[in-house]
Amino acid sequence: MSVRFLSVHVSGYRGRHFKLDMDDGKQSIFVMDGNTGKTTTIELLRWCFRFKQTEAKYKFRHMWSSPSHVLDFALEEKQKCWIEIQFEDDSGKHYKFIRETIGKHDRSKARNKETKGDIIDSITDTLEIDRGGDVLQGNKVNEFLNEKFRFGVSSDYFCFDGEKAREMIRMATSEVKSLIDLIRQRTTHAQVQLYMKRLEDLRDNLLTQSAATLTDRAHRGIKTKLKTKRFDLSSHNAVVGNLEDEEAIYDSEVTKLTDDIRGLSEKIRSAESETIRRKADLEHTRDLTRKEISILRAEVYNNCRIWMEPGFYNLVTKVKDVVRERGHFPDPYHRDLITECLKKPPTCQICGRVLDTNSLKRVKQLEVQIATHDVQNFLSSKFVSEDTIYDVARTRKEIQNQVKRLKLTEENYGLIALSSEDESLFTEKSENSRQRDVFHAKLIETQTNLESARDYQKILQHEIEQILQKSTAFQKNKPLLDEIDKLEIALDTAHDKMRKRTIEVIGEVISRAASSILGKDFTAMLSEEDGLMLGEKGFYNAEIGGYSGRLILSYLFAEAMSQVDPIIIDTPVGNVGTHRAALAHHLANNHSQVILLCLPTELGDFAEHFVNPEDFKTIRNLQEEKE
Amino acid sequence: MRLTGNVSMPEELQSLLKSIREKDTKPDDETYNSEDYLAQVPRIVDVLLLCVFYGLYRTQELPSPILNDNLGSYEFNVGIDREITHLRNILLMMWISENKDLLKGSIIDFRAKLYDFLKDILDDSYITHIVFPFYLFKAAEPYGDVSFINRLDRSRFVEWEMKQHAPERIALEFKSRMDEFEAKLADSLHEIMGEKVDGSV
Repeated sequence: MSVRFLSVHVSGYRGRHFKLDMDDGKQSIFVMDGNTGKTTTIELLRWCFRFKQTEAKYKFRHMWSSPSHVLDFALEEKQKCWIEIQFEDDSGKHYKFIRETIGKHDRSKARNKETKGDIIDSITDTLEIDRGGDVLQGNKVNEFLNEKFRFGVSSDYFCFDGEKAREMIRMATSEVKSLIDLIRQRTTHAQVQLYMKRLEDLRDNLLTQSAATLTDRAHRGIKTKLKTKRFDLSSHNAVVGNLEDEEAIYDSEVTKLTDDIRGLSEKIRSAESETIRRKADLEHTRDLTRKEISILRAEVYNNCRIWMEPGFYNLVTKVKDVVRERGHFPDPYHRDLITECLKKPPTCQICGRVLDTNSLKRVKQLEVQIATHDVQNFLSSKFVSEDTIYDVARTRKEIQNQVKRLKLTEENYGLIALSSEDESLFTEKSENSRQRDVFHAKLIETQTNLESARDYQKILQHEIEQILQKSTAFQKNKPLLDEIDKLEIALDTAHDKMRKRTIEVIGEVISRAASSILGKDFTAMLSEEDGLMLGEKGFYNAEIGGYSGRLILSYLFAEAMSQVDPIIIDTPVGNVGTHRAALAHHLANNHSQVILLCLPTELGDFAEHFVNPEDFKTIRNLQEEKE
Repeated sequence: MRLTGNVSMPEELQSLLKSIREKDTKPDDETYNSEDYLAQVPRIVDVLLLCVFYGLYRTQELPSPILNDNLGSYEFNVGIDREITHLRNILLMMWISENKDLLKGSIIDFRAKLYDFLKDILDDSYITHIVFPFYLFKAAEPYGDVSFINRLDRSRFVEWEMKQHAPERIALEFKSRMDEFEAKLADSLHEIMGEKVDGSV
């Protein structure tokens, strides 16, 4: 979205009082000395655009302090600060944004010995559109600016400074995942998101319509269950997506390293020197022997169910045969029979004879000794062995032989001396193998996690299906609900493709810009796997281009991430070295408006490429001027 | 028998089982194997069974309820019919061997006691709650310098040398304890076989 900033007027925030006047939206150079409000301006713009009125309290950050004080710490009494930002859109419509903050700065120390800081009573946002044609207030201001101009998501990029640049350099080199998350946010297509939202609304309507036949309580219960499960599923889909991305990254690393190792092995094999070939042969034998030992040892545990089996089968069967009973009454019949016999007067239930003392004693013993079916079955079952045989002693002997072979190979390997150049081939190969093992382990772990995540995904889908099936009231609309599910999947797939293409396009744009500023040998590469890297003559890594090159790369990245055309930069050429003029040309040619807050030392070979030196504007604190 | 739910065990066994499940690797050091040897067991429960049988062969004692502070647990859901049949038969032989003197008296008294014991060991819950913890804690007791569980843990990653804690060494020791136990039991049981036992009611 293209806008033109006309003025930024700061009054009281952090004790600053000044106005930046952009002369009807032209390129503007403001000369501001150290500690005069450059960073405060950038941070105020970000704070105003990012946070809604009700969410802005104590969210102001300043360089490395977050939260930082936004009120003037020099004033002890209650104070009112405000910032007024005026701008125009493409059609020339005028907008005036004002954020007013009332509060007090408490300089006394709290228990933790830190200053208590800002005590904010209120923050008020107002947006006047078309010179009084309409006025928005409160949270609606931020919502409007975000929806119409995308200020919120872009404020970190079109309001740029050294601190942000350093953060991006750090992300590009050591926090690639965070950088990729940013790219993903940027490449989210608003229109697709809108369609997804509409489908979700349509589903909600259908569910409400179906539930009209149910009691309120039943309706609420089913709807809540469905909503919770759908939310779980959608969060879980994101987890699966992330794991799939991780799997792709590790897989590509393993493939790349395997190719490198293959290349190095080829180099070693084709070497003319007999010594290298001999060393390579020994290395090959060493690796094979280690592998052989590994396989044999793994086999030991793999066969544990065989070598764990007891051996005295026949004896056990014989002993069981000795102790078990024979000829007893079938269970449970015998229990009833004996109980009946023992009732007073004790009488045999088979022949009807009254039991004498001896007979009574025998029947009582009979009750004790008759085994239950389980016991009888166990005692009469044979204890049998499996036929499979695994000889642990023999395996141990084989391992012993392999270990001897390995020792001999390693001794011979150590005796071969190579030139440092040849030695480096082996070192590099060994280092690559080590790295490949690391990535391979991560790949396996990710694949295991992915498998579990997919299982859980299926369970959730099944549960949703079950909830719908159980409720007959929802059956009528089920075909439509199924179609919505299908459409969502199709949209997701399309969105993914669009996102990939967008990343390619952004990458190409950054790369072309890098070539134009740093020279034709330099290009850039942006991908979801590796993040952002600068390359020289087709070779990419995190150190190419030095600090100045990577600083420029972070500018280019910020430009690509911003969806707002003007760019406002604090201290633009600190550390860019000899690329000042090229950077100036690039910024001037690519933005309809560039607003630069420069130190007096930054002007040469840079600022004059935007406006004539007589149009540079020196900014001073208005309060001090009054005094 | 299907082993389901949590089984009480020494904490070190619990953490060993968890790390096998999580597929720990040791890829940074080429003096070791990179993939866990112990993870090659067909099922995780086999590690638990190895410890149970080792505890049994080493102590050669019948199980009894135990109290122990060092308590962990691990959840299973797996069929272990064959191994539990083995365990029950071994326990039966041990009981007969210990109570062989009863055979000199009334066979009915002998059987009454035998059935009480069999009723216990044929109960799955008795196996899970009494037998397993008893032998697992025996396997956690130091024998020599280290416990069997500790040696199993050390056998996961082994240098390319012959080591006391290498898988093949552990398997051999297990086998020799088992053979020793079986030989002792067989001697004792052969004695009974010589006794005159009236097997009929």
